[in-house]
Amino acid sequence: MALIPAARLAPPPNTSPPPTPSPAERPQAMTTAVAIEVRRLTFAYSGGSNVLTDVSFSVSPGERIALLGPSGAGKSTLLLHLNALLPDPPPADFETDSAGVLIDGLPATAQNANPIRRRVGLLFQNPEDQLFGSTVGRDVAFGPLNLGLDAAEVQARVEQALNDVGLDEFADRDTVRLSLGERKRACLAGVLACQPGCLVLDEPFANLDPRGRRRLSDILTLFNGTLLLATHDLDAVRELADRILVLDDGRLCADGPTDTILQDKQLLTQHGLVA
Amino acid sequence: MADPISSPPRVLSAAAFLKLAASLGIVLLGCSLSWDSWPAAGALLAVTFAALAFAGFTLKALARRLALFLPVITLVAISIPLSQGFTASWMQLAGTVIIRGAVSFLAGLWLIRVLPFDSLLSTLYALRLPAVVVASLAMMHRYLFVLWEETSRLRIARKARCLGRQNRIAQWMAGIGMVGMLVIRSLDRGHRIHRAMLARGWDGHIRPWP
Amino acid sequence: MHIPDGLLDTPVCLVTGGISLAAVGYSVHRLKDSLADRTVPMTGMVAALVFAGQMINFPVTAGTSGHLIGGVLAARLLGPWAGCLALTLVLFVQKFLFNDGGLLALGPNVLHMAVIGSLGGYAIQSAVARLAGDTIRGRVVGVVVASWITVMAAAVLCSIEFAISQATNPDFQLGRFLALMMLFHSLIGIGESLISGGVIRFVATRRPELLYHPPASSGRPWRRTLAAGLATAVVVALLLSPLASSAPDGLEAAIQHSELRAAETPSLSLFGGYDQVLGNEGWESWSVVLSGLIGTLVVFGIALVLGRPLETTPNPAPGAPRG
Repeated sequence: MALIPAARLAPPPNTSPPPTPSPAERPQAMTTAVAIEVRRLTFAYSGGSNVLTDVSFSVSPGERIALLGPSGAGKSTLLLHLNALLPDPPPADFETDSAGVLIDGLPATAQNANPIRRRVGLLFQNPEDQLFGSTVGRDVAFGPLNLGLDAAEVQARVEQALNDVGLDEFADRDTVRLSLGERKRACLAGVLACQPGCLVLDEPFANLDPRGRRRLSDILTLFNGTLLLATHDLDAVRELADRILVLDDGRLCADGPTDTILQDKQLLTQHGLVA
Repeated sequence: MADPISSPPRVLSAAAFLKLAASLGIVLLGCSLSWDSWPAAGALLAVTFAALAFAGFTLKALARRLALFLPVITLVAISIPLSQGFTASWMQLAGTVIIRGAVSFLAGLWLIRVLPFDSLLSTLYALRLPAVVVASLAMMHRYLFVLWEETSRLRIARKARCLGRQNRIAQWMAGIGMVGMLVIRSLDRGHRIHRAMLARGWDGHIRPWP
Repeated sequence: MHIPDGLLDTPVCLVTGGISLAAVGYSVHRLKDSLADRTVPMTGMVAALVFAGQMINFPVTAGTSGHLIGGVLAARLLGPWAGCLALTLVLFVQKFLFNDGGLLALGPNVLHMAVIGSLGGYAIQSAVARLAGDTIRGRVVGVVVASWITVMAAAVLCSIEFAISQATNPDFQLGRFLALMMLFHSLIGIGESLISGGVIRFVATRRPELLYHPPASSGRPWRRTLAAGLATAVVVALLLSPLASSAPDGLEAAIQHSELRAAETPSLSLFGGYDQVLGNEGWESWSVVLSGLIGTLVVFGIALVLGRPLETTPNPAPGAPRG
């Protein structure tokens, strides 16, 4: 599977007015925690060697998991699979026993891409790439707008999400004029506004000062859906995660309770998690 | 307000439209000036200067900007007598070009000062500019200053590197490398932004929201 | 490269503006097929990068420096339609954010840089790439050639537009103006070729998948032939038209036979007198030929150097995360 240049993607079927989700697909008012199943996942970018090899694990609804691993282990690549962003384009079909990713039992196919993205909120590594609206409020509104909600509901979602991350007065602030911590929280608000059942975060604590770290950690503690956190920050792992997955060189090397793994100094050193 | 991801309602603000129309009107009048219409030129310039003063421009600020602009328009204008001969009539035509260009420049200064970019986009959208154009413009605007800063840093780095050798070839090669890096980084960023848009449900349709 | 207000007459600006509007409007219409939901982020980003790229200066002499224009570059990165829109956005922002360039002149500027520069540039460089072998080398050569041709074509068009603005002025000699413009822009075109070709080679060496690949399904060979034919015609016209003056009698006779001669529209008297003007004084025709020859030779040289075999290094896919 490979990332194919833009123009080779099949063109959209038609250009009729924007589809609104049917009532059955509309997001629930309360978030229901989401289950993840990763089954023998193997992936390589075009012309390259395997970035992920035979990765398998399951996540029950409401579990809080940390994904640890040295740089280049394939963590970000794995997280993109959880949002049907890889492979690009997503496969058209899925055999019952195929390798791949299932979110709440939905296989990651082209057809299920949007339902999966509604269930799993992905926070990317670099907030600059994710905060593309002109103001914070408009950026946070992006997700709810795409869900087909009307203006009043969008407004309510935006206010709630900004409140959840402590950026209440920031709705009209230019996205260019934010500190790193504010940017990360604004991105998180944008994801929370979609009310996903699962939060997947790629290095959320990178480059944050201690106060920023604390703030973000407090917000994540309050989230009651499924949580998957890729990070190098072992303190945050202790605070937020019940279970640890260790990824190294594209393979899952360890899968166990937080305390067990963090006490295994040899394991941590072997995979570059401690100096 | 225009945005890369949501579109404003197609509501035309009368004030914004009038400002746009006024600026266009001054440019049209200015471009119809000829060498003989001195009184008209004087009146037009007076009106424009008054408008600029009203918008908050000091004489010093105007002089500074005109000083940057006049060499450009003069260079363009001088091509006429340069190719046709330095006779009175061609020199007058060159002068006319300069006056016309200056009036348009001043009208442009005024418009930018009184009509913020977002209002301009909203107004054009209300005048039926396609949503995809407005959204692309807003996206460009959002990342313009990010790229500008990156490019400035690259330029400083190049200056530091080429300080010893003022070799033109080295500078050209460094410049090509800079543009090349800019291309690669920006395209990668564009793909990442697209991915982030998909992650929050983007399907290419720009939905309206006030 | 882009002109301020004042040079061209208002009617000329409005007419070219109308043509530009139609061409860009059509490009926007075709965007849906080529980039689909990637349109907004990619066009916006390329427009921003062309704008920023124009900031990088390439010193020519003490005090003057050149800049990338970027029409062919944008087309090579995003395809013809998005490339055209990206350049239009650059011109729009230059005018309405930085007051750089004329308001009425947006019409001719968009025509020169977005329509001819990007749309035309794409047609020319795909035709050349096809002739030179549809490889990365061929595309670099295509970019080099297309850059020079589009700059020259814009210069010629601008001269014609100015001549039309001066249609009521019997003393105006298009030949001399054209000669000056073509000499000047021949040099600018060389710079554009060097920079665009160099950048595309730089990108193709490291990340070839970032370049635009036209959809395989658009099998319309007649369009490509047409584009190639037009490209050839443009080059031929540019280089050979002054030489046509060497046979003024033949041309005059041909015009006399044409029934259109009697119509006496300003544009016709313009072209009717064109060959006479060029026949009168020798230096204009020679300078036009010279600029064409210099350009062609130097551009071939650049194409040869930049089109030499590339060593591609292994690289990650676009947007691949690190870590």
